Amino acid sequence: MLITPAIVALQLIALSVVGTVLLAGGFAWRILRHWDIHSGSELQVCLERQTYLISTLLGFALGAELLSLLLFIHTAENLSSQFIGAMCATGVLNINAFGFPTLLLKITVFFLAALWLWLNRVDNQGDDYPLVRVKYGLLMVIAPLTVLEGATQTAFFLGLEPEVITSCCGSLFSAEGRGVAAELAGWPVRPALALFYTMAGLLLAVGLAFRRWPGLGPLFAAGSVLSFSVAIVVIIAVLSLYVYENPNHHCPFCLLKAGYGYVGYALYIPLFAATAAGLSAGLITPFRRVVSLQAVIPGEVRHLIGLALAGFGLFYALATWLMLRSPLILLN
Amino acid sequence: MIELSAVSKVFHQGRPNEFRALREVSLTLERGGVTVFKGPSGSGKTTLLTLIGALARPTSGRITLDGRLLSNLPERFLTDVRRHTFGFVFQQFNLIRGLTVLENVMLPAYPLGRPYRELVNAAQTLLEQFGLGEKAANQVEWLSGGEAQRTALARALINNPTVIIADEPTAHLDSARSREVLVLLGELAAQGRTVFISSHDPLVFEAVSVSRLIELQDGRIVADSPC
Repeated sequence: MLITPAIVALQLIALSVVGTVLLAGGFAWRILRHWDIHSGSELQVCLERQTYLISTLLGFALGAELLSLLLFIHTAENLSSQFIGAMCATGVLNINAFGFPTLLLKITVFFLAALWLWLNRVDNQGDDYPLVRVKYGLLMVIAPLTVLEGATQTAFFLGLEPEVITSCCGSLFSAEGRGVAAELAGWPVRPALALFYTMAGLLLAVGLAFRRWPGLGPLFAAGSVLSFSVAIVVIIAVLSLYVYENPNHHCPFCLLKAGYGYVGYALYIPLFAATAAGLSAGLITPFRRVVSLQAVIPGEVRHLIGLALAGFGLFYALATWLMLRSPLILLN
Repeated sequence: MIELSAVSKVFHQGRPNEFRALREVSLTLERGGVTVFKGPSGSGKTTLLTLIGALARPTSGRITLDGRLLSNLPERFLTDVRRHTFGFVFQQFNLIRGLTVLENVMLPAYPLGRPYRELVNAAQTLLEQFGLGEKAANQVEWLSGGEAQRTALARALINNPTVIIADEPTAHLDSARSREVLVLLGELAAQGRTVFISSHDPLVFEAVSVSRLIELQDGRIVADSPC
Protein backbone atom coordinates (compact mmCIF):
# COMPACT_ATOMS: atom_id res chain seq x y z
CA MET A 1 0.00 0.00 0.00
CA LEU A 2 1.22 3.50 -0.82
CA ILE A 3 0.91 6.13 1.87
CA THR A 4 0.61 9.70 0.68
CA PRO A 5 -0.99 12.69 2.47
CA ALA A 6 -3.95 12.52 0.07
CA ILE A 7 -4.55 8.81 0.74
CA VAL A 8 -4.35 9.42 4.50
CA ALA A 9 -6.80 12.32 4.13
CA LEU A 10 -9.20 10.21 2.04
CA GLN A 11 -9.06 7.36 4.54
CA LEU A 12 -9.63 9.74 7.47
CA ILE A 13 -12.61 11.27 5.67
CA ALA A 14 -13.99 7.78 4.96
CA LEU A 15 -13.49 6.76 8.58
CA SER A 16 -15.19 9.83 9.99
CA VAL A 17 -18.02 9.69 7.43
CA VAL A 18 -18.69 6.00 8.08
CA GLY A 19 -18.55 6.56 11.86
CA THR A 20 -20.95 9.51 11.67
CA VAL A 21 -23.30 7.79 9.24
CA LEU A 22 -23.46 4.64 11.38
CA LEU A 23 -24.17 6.72 14.47
CA ALA A 24 -26.82 8.66 12.57
CA GLY A 25 -28.18 5.44 11.04
CA GLY A 26 -29.07 4.13 14.49
CA PHE A 27 -30.75 7.43 15.26
CA ALA A 28 -32.53 7.38 11.89
CA TRP A 29 -33.97 3.98 12.71
CA ARG A 30 -35.39 5.37 15.97
CA ILE A 31 -36.82 8.36 14.11
CA LEU A 32 -38.50 6.16 11.50
CA ARG A 33 -39.98 3.90 14.18
CA HIS A 34 -40.96 6.32 16.92
CA TRP A 35 -41.27 9.86 15.55
CA ASP A 36 -44.66 11.36 16.38
CA ILE A 37 -44.76 15.15 16.36
CA HIS A 38 -48.09 15.15 18.20
CA SER A 39 -46.73 13.22 21.15
CA GLY A 40 -45.14 14.91 24.15
CA SER A 41 -43.54 11.69 25.34
CA GLU A 42 -40.05 11.69 26.79
CA LEU A 43 -38.79 9.72 23.80
CA GLN A 44 -40.25 12.20 21.29
CA VAL A 45 -38.82 15.20 23.17
CA CYS A 46 -35.47 13.40 23.29
CA LEU A 47 -35.57 12.71 19.51
CA GLU A 48 -36.41 16.36 18.83
CA ARG A 49 -33.43 17.47 20.88
CA GLN A 50 -31.05 15.05 19.21
CA THR A 51 -32.13 15.56 15.61
CA TYR A 52 -30.49 18.98 15.31
CA LEU A 53 -27.17 17.71 16.64
CA ILE A 54 -27.23 14.60 14.44
CA SER A 55 -28.22 16.63 11.36
CA THR A 56 -25.41 19.10 11.99
CA LEU A 57 -22.83 16.30 12.35
CA LEU A 58 -24.17 14.64 9.21
CA GLY A 59 -24.02 17.93 7.37
CA PHE A 60 -20.29 18.16 8.02
CA ALA A 61 -19.72 14.46 7.22
CA LEU A 62 -21.64 14.52 3.94
CA GLY A 63 -20.08 17.87 3.01
CA ALA A 64 -16.68 16.18 3.40
CA GLU A 65 -18.01 13.31 1.29
CA LEU A 66 -18.72 15.74 -1.58
CA LEU A 67 -15.15 17.01 -1.45
CA SER A 68 -13.71 13.51 -1.18
CA LEU A 69 -14.90 12.69 -4.73
CA LEU A 70 -12.77 15.51 -6.08
CA LEU A 71 -9.82 14.52 -3.90
CA PHE A 72 -10.14 10.87 -4.90
CA ILE A 73 -10.00 11.65 -8.62
CA HIS A 74 -7.16 14.11 -8.08
CA THR A 75 -5.25 11.50 -6.05
CA ALA A 76 -5.77 8.78 -8.66
CA GLU A 77 -4.50 11.18 -11.30
CA ASN A 78 -1.45 12.17 -9.23
CA LEU A 79 -0.52 8.56 -8.46
CA SER A 80 -0.32 7.68 -12.15
CA SER A 81 3.37 8.58 -12.29
CA GLN A 82 4.17 5.88 -9.73
CA PHE A 83 2.80 2.87 -11.63
CA ILE A 84 4.25 1.22 -14.70
CA GLY A 85 1.79 1.44 -17.55
CA ALA A 86 -0.45 4.09 -15.97
CA MET A 87 -0.68 7.29 -18.00
CA CYS A 88 -3.51 8.83 -16.00
CA ALA A 89 -6.12 8.03 -13.33
CA THR A 90 -7.52 5.23 -15.52
CA GLY A 91 -4.37 3.18 -15.09
CA VAL A 92 -4.36 3.72 -11.34
CA LEU A 93 -8.06 2.81 -10.99
CA ASN A 94 -7.30 -0.32 -13.05
CA ILE A 95 -4.54 -1.56 -10.74
CA ASN A 96 -6.98 -3.71 -8.82
CA ALA A 97 -10.64 -4.67 -8.89
CA PHE A 98 -11.69 -1.95 -6.41
CA GLY A 99 -10.69 1.24 -8.27
CA PHE A 100 -13.66 1.78 -10.57
CA PRO A 101 -16.26 0.41 -8.10
CA THR A 102 -14.96 2.96 -5.57
CA LEU A 103 -15.29 5.74 -8.12
CA LEU A 104 -18.84 4.71 -9.10
CA LEU A 105 -19.86 4.45 -5.43
CA LYS A 106 -18.34 7.85 -4.73
CA ILE A 107 -20.29 9.41 -7.59
CA THR A 108 -23.54 7.78 -6.39
CA VAL A 109 -22.96 8.88 -2.81
CA PHE A 110 -22.02 12.36 -4.05
CA PHE A 111 -25.46 12.90 -5.60
CA LEU A 112 -27.33 11.31 -2.70
CA ALA A 113 -25.33 13.34 -0.18
CA ALA A 114 -26.03 16.55 -2.08
CA LEU A 115 -29.73 15.71 -2.10
CA TRP A 116 -29.65 14.93 1.64
CA LEU A 117 -27.87 18.21 2.39
CA TRP A 118 -30.50 20.18 0.51
CA LEU A 119 -33.35 18.28 2.15
CA ASN A 120 -31.77 19.05 5.51
CA ARG A 121 -31.42 22.72 4.60
CA VAL A 122 -35.12 22.89 3.67
CA ASP A 123 -36.20 20.87 6.72
CA ASN A 124 -34.34 23.26 9.01
CA GLN A 125 -36.45 26.11 7.68
CA GLY A 126 -39.73 24.52 8.75
CA ASP A 127 -40.73 24.92 12.38
CA ASP A 128 -42.29 21.47 12.73
CA TYR A 129 -39.49 19.20 11.41
CA PRO A 130 -41.48 18.70 8.17
CA LEU A 131 -39.00 16.46 6.31
CA VAL A 132 -37.48 14.64 9.24
CA ARG A 133 -38.76 11.22 8.17
CA VAL A 134 -37.85 11.81 4.52
CA LYS A 135 -34.28 12.85 5.23
CA TYR A 136 -33.65 10.06 7.70
CA GLY A 137 -35.28 7.62 5.30
CA LEU A 138 -32.83 8.78 2.64
CA LEU A 139 -30.03 8.38 5.15
CA MET A 140 -30.95 4.71 5.48
CA VAL A 141 -30.17 4.42 1.75
CA ILE A 142 -26.97 6.46 1.98
CA ALA A 143 -25.59 4.66 5.06
CA PRO A 144 -24.92 1.22 3.52
CA LEU A 145 -23.54 2.81 0.33
CA THR A 146 -21.17 4.92 2.40
CA VAL A 147 -19.97 1.90 4.35
CA LEU A 148 -19.51 -0.03 1.11
CA GLU A 149 -17.66 2.91 -0.42
CA GLY A 150 -15.36 3.15 2.62
CA ALA A 151 -14.65 -0.58 2.40
CA THR A 152 -13.93 -0.59 -1.36
CA GLN A 153 -11.77 2.53 -1.05
CA THR A 154 -9.75 0.89 1.73
CA ALA A 155 -9.42 -2.30 -0.33
CA PHE A 156 -8.35 -0.21 -3.33
CA PHE A 157 -5.64 1.66 -1.44
CA LEU A 158 -4.46 -1.51 0.33
CA GLY A 159 -4.13 -3.19 -3.06
CA LEU A 160 -1.98 -0.46 -4.61
CA GLU A 161 1.18 -2.49 -5.24
CA PRO A 162 3.87 -0.44 -7.05
CA GLU A 163 5.24 -3.54 -8.82
CA VAL A 164 1.92 -4.19 -10.58
CA ILE A 165 2.00 -3.34 -14.27
CA THR A 166 -1.29 -1.74 -15.20
CA SER A 167 -2.91 -0.84 -18.48
CA CYS A 168 -3.26 2.70 -19.76
CA CYS A 169 -6.40 4.53 -20.81
CA GLY A 170 -5.75 3.79 -24.46
CA SER A 171 -6.67 0.14 -24.02
CA LEU A 172 -9.77 0.77 -21.87
CA PHE A 173 -11.31 3.72 -23.72
CA SER A 174 -10.82 2.39 -27.22
CA ALA A 175 -13.61 2.29 -29.78
CA GLU A 176 -12.35 -1.10 -30.90
CA GLY A 177 -12.24 -2.59 -27.41
CA ARG A 178 -14.87 -4.39 -25.33
CA GLY A 179 -16.80 -3.35 -22.25
CA VAL A 180 -18.79 -0.29 -21.20
CA ALA A 181 -15.90 2.17 -21.64
CA ALA A 182 -15.29 0.93 -25.18
CA GLU A 183 -19.02 1.09 -25.93
CA LEU A 184 -19.07 4.72 -24.81
CA ALA A 185 -15.95 5.52 -26.81
CA GLY A 186 -17.52 3.94 -29.89
CA TRP A 187 -20.50 6.33 -30.04
CA PRO A 188 -20.70 8.02 -33.44
CA VAL A 189 -19.88 11.72 -33.26
CA ARG A 190 -22.83 13.26 -35.08
CA PRO A 191 -25.67 11.52 -33.16
CA ALA A 192 -23.78 12.04 -29.89
CA LEU A 193 -23.49 15.78 -30.51
CA ALA A 194 -27.10 15.98 -31.71
CA LEU A 195 -28.26 14.32 -28.50
CA PHE A 196 -25.92 16.54 -26.46
CA TYR A 197 -27.35 19.80 -27.77
CA THR A 198 -30.93 18.51 -27.87
CA MET A 199 -30.61 17.69 -24.18
CA ALA A 200 -29.20 21.18 -23.53
CA GLY A 201 -32.21 22.77 -25.24
CA LEU A 202 -34.72 20.51 -23.54
CA LEU A 203 -33.18 21.07 -20.12
CA LEU A 204 -33.21 24.82 -20.59
CA ALA A 205 -36.86 24.69 -21.72
CA VAL A 206 -37.93 22.44 -18.82
CA GLY A 207 -35.90 24.57 -16.39
CA LEU A 208 -37.60 27.78 -17.51
CA ALA A 209 -41.03 26.10 -17.55
CA PHE A 210 -40.33 24.59 -14.14
CA ARG A 211 -40.04 28.06 -12.62
CA ARG A 212 -43.64 28.62 -13.67
CA TRP A 213 -45.10 25.13 -13.27
CA PRO A 214 -43.66 23.49 -10.14
CA GLY A 215 -45.23 20.16 -11.13
CA LEU A 216 -42.38 19.76 -13.61
CA GLY A 217 -39.91 19.18 -10.76
CA PRO A 218 -39.45 15.44 -11.21
CA LEU A 219 -39.07 15.97 -14.98
CA PHE A 220 -36.32 18.49 -14.38
CA ALA A 221 -34.59 16.07 -11.99
CA ALA A 222 -34.79 13.29 -14.58
CA GLY A 223 -33.59 15.71 -17.29
CA SER A 224 -30.60 16.69 -15.15
CA VAL A 225 -29.58 13.07 -14.64
CA LEU A 226 -30.08 12.31 -18.33
CA SER A 227 -28.08 15.39 -19.36
CA PHE A 228 -25.31 14.30 -17.01
CA SER A 229 -25.23 10.84 -18.59
CA VAL A 230 -25.22 12.24 -22.12
CA ALA A 231 -22.50 14.72 -21.12
CA ILE A 232 -20.28 11.87 -19.88
CA VAL A 233 -20.88 9.95 -23.12
CA VAL A 234 -20.03 13.05 -25.18
CA ILE A 235 -16.89 13.73 -23.15
CA ILE A 236 -15.67 10.18 -23.86
CA ALA A 237 -16.91 9.81 -27.43
CA VAL A 238 -16.33 13.31 -28.81
CA LEU A 239 -15.03 16.08 -26.58
CA SER A 240 -11.87 14.25 -25.50
CA LEU A 241 -10.91 13.77 -29.16
CA TYR A 242 -11.14 17.52 -29.75
CA VAL A 243 -9.17 18.37 -26.61
CA TYR A 244 -6.39 15.86 -27.30
CA GLU A 245 -6.52 16.68 -31.02
CA ASN A 246 -6.33 12.94 -31.61
CA PRO A 247 -9.18 10.93 -33.19
CA ASN A 248 -8.34 7.82 -31.14
CA HIS A 249 -7.83 9.13 -27.60
CA HIS A 250 -11.09 8.90 -25.64
CA CYS A 251 -9.92 9.05 -22.01
CA PRO A 252 -12.10 11.21 -19.71
CA PHE A 253 -9.31 11.36 -17.08
CA CYS A 254 -6.43 12.73 -19.16
CA LEU A 255 -8.49 15.96 -19.28
CA LEU A 256 -7.38 16.47 -15.67
CA LYS A 257 -3.72 16.67 -16.65
CA ALA A 258 -1.65 19.85 -16.55
CA GLY A 259 -0.81 19.30 -20.22
CA TYR A 260 -4.42 20.06 -21.11
CA GLY A 261 -4.67 23.01 -18.73
CA TYR A 262 -6.61 21.00 -16.10
CA VAL A 263 -9.63 21.59 -18.30
CA GLY A 264 -11.28 18.46 -16.88
CA TYR A 265 -11.80 20.17 -13.53
CA ALA A 266 -13.44 23.13 -15.26
CA LEU A 267 -15.77 20.70 -17.05
CA TYR A 268 -16.55 18.23 -14.29
CA ILE A 269 -17.07 20.57 -11.33
CA PRO A 270 -19.92 22.58 -12.93
CA LEU A 271 -21.37 19.41 -14.47
CA PHE A 272 -21.52 17.55 -11.15
CA ALA A 273 -22.71 20.61 -9.23
CA ALA A 274 -25.42 21.34 -11.81
CA THR A 275 -26.66 17.74 -11.81
CA ALA A 276 -26.80 17.68 -8.01
CA ALA A 277 -28.69 20.99 -8.00
CA GLY A 278 -31.12 19.83 -10.72
CA LEU A 279 -31.75 16.56 -8.93
CA SER A 280 -32.35 18.33 -5.62
CA ALA A 281 -34.63 20.96 -7.21
CA GLY A 282 -36.80 18.31 -8.78
CA LEU A 283 -37.01 16.13 -5.72
CA ILE A 284 -37.81 18.80 -3.14
CA THR A 285 -40.60 20.34 -5.24
CA PRO A 286 -43.22 17.75 -4.24
CA PHE A 287 -42.91 19.01 -0.64
CA ARG A 288 -44.13 22.49 -1.59
CA ARG A 289 -47.59 21.62 -0.24
CA VAL A 290 -46.30 20.99 3.29
CA VAL A 291 -47.76 23.90 5.26
CA SER A 292 -44.58 24.94 7.06
CA LEU A 293 -42.61 24.84 3.78
CA GLN A 294 -45.03 26.68 1.53
CA ALA A 295 -43.06 29.90 1.89
CA VAL A 296 -39.68 28.17 1.75
CA ILE A 297 -39.72 25.72 -1.16
CA PRO A 298 -40.43 28.14 -4.05
CA GLY A 299 -37.36 30.24 -3.17
CA GLU A 300 -35.15 27.20 -2.66
CA VAL A 301 -36.28 25.66 -5.95
CA ARG A 302 -35.70 28.88 -7.87
CA HIS A 303 -32.25 29.05 -6.36
CA LEU A 304 -31.49 25.43 -7.30
CA ILE A 305 -32.82 25.80 -10.85
CA GLY A 306 -30.63 28.87 -11.25
CA LEU A 307 -27.62 26.91 -9.98
CA ALA A 308 -28.38 23.94 -12.22
CA LEU A 309 -28.89 26.03 -15.35
CA ALA A 310 -25.79 28.11 -14.62
CA GLY A 311 -23.70 24.96 -14.06
CA PHE A 312 -24.96 23.23 -17.19
CA GLY A 313 -24.60 26.48 -19.12
CA LEU A 314 -20.98 26.77 -18.05
CA PHE A 315 -20.32 23.16 -18.97
CA TYR A 316 -21.98 23.41 -22.40
CA ALA A 317 -20.26 26.72 -23.14
CA LEU A 318 -16.84 25.36 -22.23
CA ALA A 319 -17.42 22.10 -24.11
CA THR A 320 -18.53 24.00 -27.22
CA TRP A 321 -15.56 26.36 -27.03
CA LEU A 322 -13.15 23.42 -26.68
CA MET A 323 -14.61 21.78 -29.79
CA LEU A 324 -14.61 25.00 -31.82
CA ARG A 325 -11.06 26.01 -31.01
CA SER A 326 -9.63 22.53 -31.71
CA PRO A 327 -7.80 22.06 -35.03
CA LEU A 328 -9.17 18.49 -35.18
CA ILE A 329 -11.94 18.07 -37.76
CA LEU A 330 -14.42 15.27 -37.05
CA LEU A 331 -17.44 16.71 -38.86
CA ASN A 332 -17.46 18.24 -42.30
CA MET B 1 -53.10 31.65 25.75
CA ILE B 2 -50.37 29.37 27.07
CA GLU B 3 -51.21 25.74 27.65
CA LEU B 4 -49.07 23.17 29.42
CA SER B 5 -49.90 19.53 28.94
CA ALA B 6 -48.35 16.89 31.25
CA VAL B 7 -45.11 18.83 31.46
CA SER B 8 -42.24 17.24 33.41
CA LYS B 9 -38.70 18.46 33.88
CA VAL B 10 -35.93 16.23 35.16
CA PHE B 11 -32.41 17.47 35.83
CA HIS B 12 -29.37 15.15 35.70
CA GLN B 13 -31.57 12.43 34.25
CA GLY B 14 -30.27 8.90 34.73
CA ARG B 15 -27.57 10.01 37.16
CA PRO B 16 -27.41 9.41 40.92
CA ASN B 17 -28.28 13.09 41.53
CA GLU B 18 -31.38 13.00 39.29
CA PHE B 19 -33.89 15.63 40.36
CA ARG B 20 -37.48 15.78 39.20
CA ALA B 21 -38.33 19.50 39.33
CA LEU B 22 -41.78 19.28 37.70
CA ARG B 23 -44.14 16.32 37.56
CA GLU B 24 -46.82 16.10 34.88
CA VAL B 25 -47.98 19.70 35.24
CA SER B 26 -51.04 20.61 33.16
CA LEU B 27 -52.16 24.19 33.17
CA THR B 28 -53.96 26.77 31.06
CA LEU B 29 -52.84 30.39 31.38
CA GLU B 30 -55.10 32.98 29.81
CA ARG B 31 -53.85 36.24 28.36
CA GLY B 32 -53.75 39.27 30.64
CA GLY B 33 -53.62 39.73 34.41
CA VAL B 34 -50.98 38.93 36.98
CA THR B 35 -50.48 35.26 37.81
CA VAL B 36 -48.32 34.43 40.79
CA PHE B 37 -46.63 31.06 41.27
CA LYS B 38 -45.94 30.55 44.94
CA GLY B 39 -44.25 27.76 46.82
CA PRO B 40 -41.21 26.94 48.91
CA SER B 41 -37.69 26.71 47.51
CA GLY B 42 -37.36 23.66 45.24
CA SER B 43 -41.09 23.50 44.52
CA GLY B 44 -40.51 24.07 40.80
CA LYS B 45 -41.63 27.71 40.39
CA THR B 46 -38.53 28.94 38.59
CA THR B 47 -38.33 25.80 36.45
CA LEU B 48 -41.94 26.26 35.41
CA LEU B 49 -41.33 29.89 34.45
CA THR B 50 -38.21 29.01 32.45
CA LEU B 51 -40.25 26.43 30.51
CA ILE B 52 -43.12 28.85 29.91
CA GLY B 53 -40.64 31.51 28.78
CA ALA B 54 -38.95 29.05 26.40
CA LEU B 55 -35.62 29.39 28.20
CA ALA B 56 -35.53 25.61 28.65
CA ARG B 57 -37.34 22.61 27.22
CA PRO B 58 -39.41 20.08 29.14
CA THR B 59 -38.21 16.51 29.54
CA SER B 60 -41.68 15.41 28.49
CA GLY B 61 -45.00 17.07 27.77
CA ARG B 62 -45.99 19.91 25.48
CA ILE B 63 -46.33 23.68 25.82
CA THR B 64 -48.36 25.67 23.31
CA LEU B 65 -48.55 29.41 22.80
CA ASP B 66 -51.80 30.53 21.15
CA GLY B 67 -52.23 27.03 19.77
CA ARG B 68 -48.73 26.81 18.30
CA LEU B 69 -46.46 24.13 19.75
CA LEU B 70 -43.72 26.01 21.54
CA SER B 71 -41.74 23.41 23.45
CA ASN B 72 -40.64 21.43 20.38
CA LEU B 73 -39.67 24.34 18.17
CA PRO B 74 -36.17 24.15 16.72
CA GLU B 75 -33.88 26.60 18.50
CA ARG B 76 -33.81 29.24 15.74
CA PHE B 77 -37.61 29.56 15.84
CA LEU B 78 -37.71 29.40 19.62
CA THR B 79 -35.23 32.28 19.88
CA ASP B 80 -37.45 34.36 17.65
CA VAL B 81 -40.56 33.63 19.74
CA ARG B 82 -38.63 34.33 22.95
CA ARG B 83 -37.37 37.68 21.69
CA HIS B 84 -40.76 38.91 20.52
CA THR B 85 -43.10 37.38 23.10
CA PHE B 86 -41.35 37.29 26.45
CA GLY B 87 -39.61 39.84 28.65
CA PHE B 88 -37.66 38.54 31.62
CA VAL B 89 -36.97 40.03 35.03
CA PHE B 90 -34.57 38.03 37.18
CA GLN B 91 -34.08 37.71 40.91
CA GLN B 92 -30.43 38.87 40.67
CA PHE B 93 -31.37 41.61 38.13
CA ASN B 94 -28.67 40.22 35.76
CA LEU B 95 -27.65 43.68 34.57
CA ILE B 96 -24.37 43.79 32.70
CA ARG B 97 -21.72 45.52 34.78
CA GLY B 98 -19.52 47.98 32.94
CA LEU B 99 -22.39 49.11 30.70
CA THR B 100 -24.60 52.11 31.33
CA VAL B 101 -28.25 51.91 32.34
CA LEU B 102 -29.27 52.93 28.81
CA GLU B 103 -27.02 50.32 27.18
CA ASN B 104 -28.40 47.60 29.45
CA VAL B 105 -31.95 48.46 28.47
CA MET B 106 -31.07 48.47 24.76
CA LEU B 107 -29.19 45.18 24.87
CA PRO B 108 -32.03 42.66 24.15
CA ALA B 109 -33.04 44.67 21.08
CA TYR B 110 -29.67 44.55 19.32
CA PRO B 111 -30.26 41.15 17.59
CA LEU B 112 -33.49 42.49 16.04
CA GLY B 113 -31.59 45.13 14.09
CA ARG B 114 -33.77 48.12 14.89
CA PRO B 115 -32.35 51.49 13.78
CA TYR B 116 -30.00 52.75 16.50
CA ARG B 117 -31.63 56.16 16.95
CA GLU B 118 -35.09 54.59 17.27
CA LEU B 119 -33.71 52.14 19.82
CA VAL B 120 -32.10 54.86 21.93
CA ASN B 121 -35.37 56.80 21.94
CA ALA B 122 -37.39 53.71 22.95
CA ALA B 123 -34.97 52.90 25.79
CA GLN B 124 -34.94 56.51 26.96
CA THR B 125 -38.75 56.62 26.97
CA LEU B 126 -38.90 53.46 29.09
CA LEU B 127 -36.35 54.83 31.53
CA GLU B 128 -38.37 58.08 31.83
CA GLN B 129 -41.49 55.99 32.42
CA PHE B 130 -39.77 54.21 35.32
CA GLY B 131 -38.27 57.39 36.77
CA LEU B 132 -34.74 56.59 35.69
CA GLY B 133 -34.32 59.16 32.93
CA GLU B 134 -31.54 60.97 34.73
CA LYS B 135 -29.66 57.76 35.44
CA ALA B 136 -29.44 56.70 31.77
CA ALA B 137 -25.75 57.48 31.43
CA ASN B 138 -24.79 55.96 34.81
CA GLN B 139 -22.99 52.66 35.17
CA VAL B 140 -25.41 50.02 36.50
CA GLU B 141 -23.18 49.15 39.45
CA TRP B 142 -23.94 52.58 40.92
CA LEU B 143 -27.70 51.86 41.13
CA SER B 144 -29.61 51.01 44.29
CA GLY B 145 -31.54 47.71 44.46
CA GLY B 146 -34.85 49.34 43.54
CA GLU B 147 -33.32 51.26 40.66
CA ALA B 148 -31.59 48.14 39.40
CA GLN B 149 -34.87 46.20 39.40
CA ARG B 150 -36.68 49.03 37.58
CA THR B 151 -33.86 49.06 35.02
CA ALA B 152 -34.33 45.30 34.61
CA LEU B 153 -38.04 45.89 34.10
CA ALA B 154 -37.35 48.52 31.44
CA ARG B 155 -34.96 46.09 29.74
CA ALA B 156 -37.66 43.39 29.77
CA LEU B 157 -39.98 45.78 27.91
CA ILE B 158 -37.60 47.03 25.21
CA ASN B 159 -38.86 44.50 22.63
CA ASN B 160 -42.48 45.25 23.55
CA PRO B 161 -43.28 41.70 24.69
CA THR B 162 -46.81 40.55 25.43
CA VAL B 163 -45.72 38.42 28.38
CA ILE B 164 -43.52 39.52 31.30
CA ILE B 165 -41.90 36.79 33.37
CA ALA B 166 -40.53 37.91 36.73
CA ASP B 167 -38.66 35.39 38.84
CA GLU B 168 -38.64 36.45 42.51
CA PRO B 169 -38.54 40.13 41.51
CA THR B 170 -38.72 41.37 45.10
CA ALA B 171 -36.21 38.98 46.67
CA HIS B 172 -33.48 41.62 47.03
CA LEU B 173 -35.69 44.60 47.78
CA ASP B 174 -37.03 46.13 50.98
CA SER B 175 -40.80 46.36 51.47
CA ALA B 176 -41.15 49.87 50.03
CA ARG B 177 -39.16 49.01 46.90
CA SER B 178 -41.03 45.71 46.57
CA ARG B 179 -44.38 47.50 46.58
CA GLU B 180 -43.04 49.94 43.99
CA VAL B 181 -42.06 47.08 41.66
CA LEU B 182 -45.40 45.33 42.21
CA VAL B 183 -47.27 48.50 41.29
CA LEU B 184 -45.25 48.73 38.09
CA LEU B 185 -46.00 45.09 37.24
CA GLY B 186 -49.70 45.73 37.98
CA GLU B 187 -49.64 48.68 35.59
CA LEU B 188 -48.16 46.50 32.87
CA ALA B 189 -51.00 43.99 33.34
CA ALA B 190 -53.50 46.87 33.21
CA GLN B 191 -52.00 47.84 29.82
CA GLY B 192 -52.97 44.39 28.53
CA ARG B 193 -49.75 42.49 29.08
CA THR B 194 -49.64 39.12 30.79
CA VAL B 195 -47.47 39.00 33.91
CA PHE B 196 -46.17 35.81 35.52
CA ILE B 197 -44.38 36.13 38.85
CA SER B 198 -42.74 33.44 40.92
CA SER B 199 -42.35 34.32 44.57
CA HIS B 200 -42.55 33.16 48.12
CA ASP B 201 -42.88 36.72 49.38
CA PRO B 202 -46.31 37.35 51.05
CA LEU B 203 -46.14 40.95 49.82
CA VAL B 204 -46.45 39.62 46.29
CA PHE B 205 -49.44 37.30 46.90
CA GLU B 206 -51.27 40.06 48.72
CA ALA B 207 -50.74 42.70 46.03
CA VAL B 208 -54.06 43.96 44.70
CA SER B 209 -53.07 43.49 41.10
CA VAL B 210 -52.71 39.69 41.43
CA SER B 211 -55.48 37.95 39.49
CA ARG B 212 -54.52 34.30 39.96
CA LEU B 213 -52.48 32.41 42.53
CA ILE B 214 -51.01 29.01 41.74
CA GLU B 215 -49.27 27.07 44.47
CA LEU B 216 -46.60 24.48 43.77
CA GLN B 217 -45.07 21.86 45.96
CA ASP B 218 -42.56 19.16 44.99
CA GLY B 219 -43.07 19.89 41.31
CA ARG B 220 -46.87 19.62 41.39
CA ILE B 221 -49.68 22.16 41.47
CA VAL B 222 -51.40 21.85 44.83
CA ALA B 223 -53.66 24.90 44.65
CA ASP B 224 -54.95 27.16 41.89
CA SER B 225 -57.26 30.02 42.77
CA PRO B 226 -58.39 33.30 41.22
CA CYS B 227 -57.90 36.37 43.41
